[in-house]
Amino acid sequence: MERFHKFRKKFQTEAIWKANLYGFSGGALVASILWLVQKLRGVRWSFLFPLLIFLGVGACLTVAAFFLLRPSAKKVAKRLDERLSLKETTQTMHEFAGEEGEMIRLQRQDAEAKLANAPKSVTKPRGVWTCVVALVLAVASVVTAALIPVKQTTGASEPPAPPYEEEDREDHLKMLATLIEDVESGSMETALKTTVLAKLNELYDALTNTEEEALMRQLVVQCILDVDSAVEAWNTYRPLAKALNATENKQVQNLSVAISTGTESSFTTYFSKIQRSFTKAARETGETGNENGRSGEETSSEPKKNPAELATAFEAELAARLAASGVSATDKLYLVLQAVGTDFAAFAAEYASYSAEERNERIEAFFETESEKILDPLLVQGENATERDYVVAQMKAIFEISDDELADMESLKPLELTIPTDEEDANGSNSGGAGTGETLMGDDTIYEPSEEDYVKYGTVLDEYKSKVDWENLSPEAKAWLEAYFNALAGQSSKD
Amino acid sequence: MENVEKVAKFSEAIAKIKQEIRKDVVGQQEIVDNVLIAIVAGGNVLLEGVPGVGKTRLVRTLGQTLSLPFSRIQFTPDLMPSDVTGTNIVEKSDDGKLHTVFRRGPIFANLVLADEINRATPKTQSAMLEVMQEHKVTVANHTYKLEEPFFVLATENPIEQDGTYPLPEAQMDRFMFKLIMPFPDVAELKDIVTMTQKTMEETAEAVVDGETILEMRALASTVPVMDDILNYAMRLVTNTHPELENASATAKKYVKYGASPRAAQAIITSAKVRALVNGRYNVSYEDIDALAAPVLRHRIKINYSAINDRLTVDDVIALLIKETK
Repeated sequence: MERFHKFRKKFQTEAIWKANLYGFSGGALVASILWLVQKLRGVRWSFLFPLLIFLGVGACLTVAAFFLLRPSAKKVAKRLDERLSLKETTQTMHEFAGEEGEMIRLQRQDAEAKLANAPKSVTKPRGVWTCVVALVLAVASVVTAALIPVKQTTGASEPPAPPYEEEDREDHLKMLATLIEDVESGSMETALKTTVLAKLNELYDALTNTEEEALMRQLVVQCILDVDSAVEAWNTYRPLAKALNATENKQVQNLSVAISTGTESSFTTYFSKIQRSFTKAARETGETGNENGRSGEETSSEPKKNPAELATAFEAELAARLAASGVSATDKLYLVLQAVGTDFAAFAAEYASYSAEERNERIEAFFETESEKILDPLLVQGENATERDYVVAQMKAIFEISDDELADMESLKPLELTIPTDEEDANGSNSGGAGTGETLMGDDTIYEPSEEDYVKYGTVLDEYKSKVDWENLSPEAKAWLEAYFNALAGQSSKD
Repeated sequence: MENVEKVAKFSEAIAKIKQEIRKDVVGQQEIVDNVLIAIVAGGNVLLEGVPGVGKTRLVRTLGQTLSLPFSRIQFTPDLMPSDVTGTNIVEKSDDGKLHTVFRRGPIFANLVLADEINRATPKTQSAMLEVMQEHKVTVANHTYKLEEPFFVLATENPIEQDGTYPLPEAQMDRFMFKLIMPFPDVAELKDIVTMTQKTMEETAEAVVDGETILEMRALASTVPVMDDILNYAMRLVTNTHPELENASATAKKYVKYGASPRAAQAIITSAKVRALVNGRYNVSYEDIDALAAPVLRHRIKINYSAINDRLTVDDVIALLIKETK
């Protein structure tokens, strides 16, 4: 058996060599393939990564290969029988190694003798060419992976981007030029206009050199967003409205809603509410010549504020809110609102000096003056917004930009203002219905066919208002609808 | 005696027997080898061949070479079992009294040549069953044991079918080998003619006695067979059975019924002898493959599909070997 074990050791050594060769060749192949794939994907790998993969995978494959190739005693016996044509002599010797007997001993001696005479070539490694092929493959793959450069990410493998057709470009530039002319002749404030025109001209220039449609769309969308941002940064009525709305004072809240859209109709509607609350306060506190106050209102347990007190509270809250708004103190609208606050303080101071008969007229005149004062800068800003909306609408039409692409527009972000209800507008009293306590005059019920009964007009109006999808309305449409509902509410009061 | 000496004696005996046989039998080396293997393994042999190929001469020469009591029974349709086994006869003793005496038949020899065994009736053929398997003869409730070594070497003619009785399967199974004696080629035929022109007498001499044969048999039985080869031989035998659950495709297609367990015993026993005859101390796959046909050809029956595909039993056995490997 000694000779047999010598052969076995030689075969084991061969198996170890082969396992290492196959294992590390496989490791090199795997590492270089991964390295190559990363390079083709444009990822630059440190040399350490493929090296670690080579070592890790190589070691695992070597162990696996050794377990597959390692020669058991039975395999060695079979291999020797095959290579030496011993007709199962060695295998029989191995199988009966632990047994004794005359014939078995003879058989063993015979096998040993045959193995002793075996030529050295019997242990010559077989499958050398397979090893050479594995080695060559491994080296070739490593060299290939090392030599191939990292591919640029904008490689030819990506499908070509759709081109920006020349015909389209010409049309677009023509229409964009017209739009620029429109903006130039528009009513936007000069400084803002300059900014907007700069953005549009910049786009115009960029489009003349743009080759891809996707890039064109990207530039247009960015321009629209820039114009919108510029206008939103210029106009202060929205941040001011937001700041003024953060109060419990209903008159200041109404003022915030009044300026929030930058439109005259919306402003008039909500500003008149403030006026009505003053008129009502004057009536309820019996400080006017009009004694039409309803008996129910006088049953309120809370003490009623007179207009002077309302004006004082209004001025104080307005000043506080303006200070907290963060809007520049040089802004025209800001300054006007500040002045309006001062006027309300002056009104409060003078109010006592007015006779009871002239108080209503004084209130009306005061509010008319203040209204005009605010509307002046507000409408200028409103015009800026209108011009902006025009530019945006035109660009959407010219370049076929969808609303989804413009979802990030600043102006589309809702202000989320608290709109005081008519009940809250009142000075602590409300008898229900569409209007406030002071606006209810005569019968405010209407016939509701589905209910087969008369219902409060205000209830119906509130129901209709609740069905409007306010969230998804443009600021313009929202303002228009609010004005519409307010007008309906005002109609009721005038019945 | 040490086994080394026994092995040397074994090889010497085989060589001598072959040398003596060559004096009277020309060619047929494979047949001679297989007959010798069967004799050492203790098996009976059925020799099949056309008339004149030397079947009887081979057996007769072998009988002379082995120096064993030899008898020849010429099987004919009117041969009775008692003509083979012997019978009780009434004899008058010296004192004038009558008594029965068993008169031994020709079967009472060490080497029996059953010439043209298929010419005897099944009744007579069946008289051979006990003799061939158990080496005993039972007559009138009395059993007589035959002397060892005992062999039956039978011949049959495959061509003449008139007046013959095919051997029953049970009897066929008792033959270790069925050997087909081929027609000699031109050179061998020339040698046969030349030799017989000189003399028709067999000149072979006795070189081995019965005791030596028994020693050779005992020695051969100790030859180791590795497990893989044993399994291979068993699979080969079971693969001849089409009715088995995992039967071979060849058996399912071409075999009507397969070999008995005696085939498995015979193949291993004879393989051991073949290994020693060929100077090896272990059985190899080659031994199994070489002896598969002699052992299996008379034990399996091919079906009509095989005949239709023009396959002989030997062809089917070759297919079975291929499938078993």
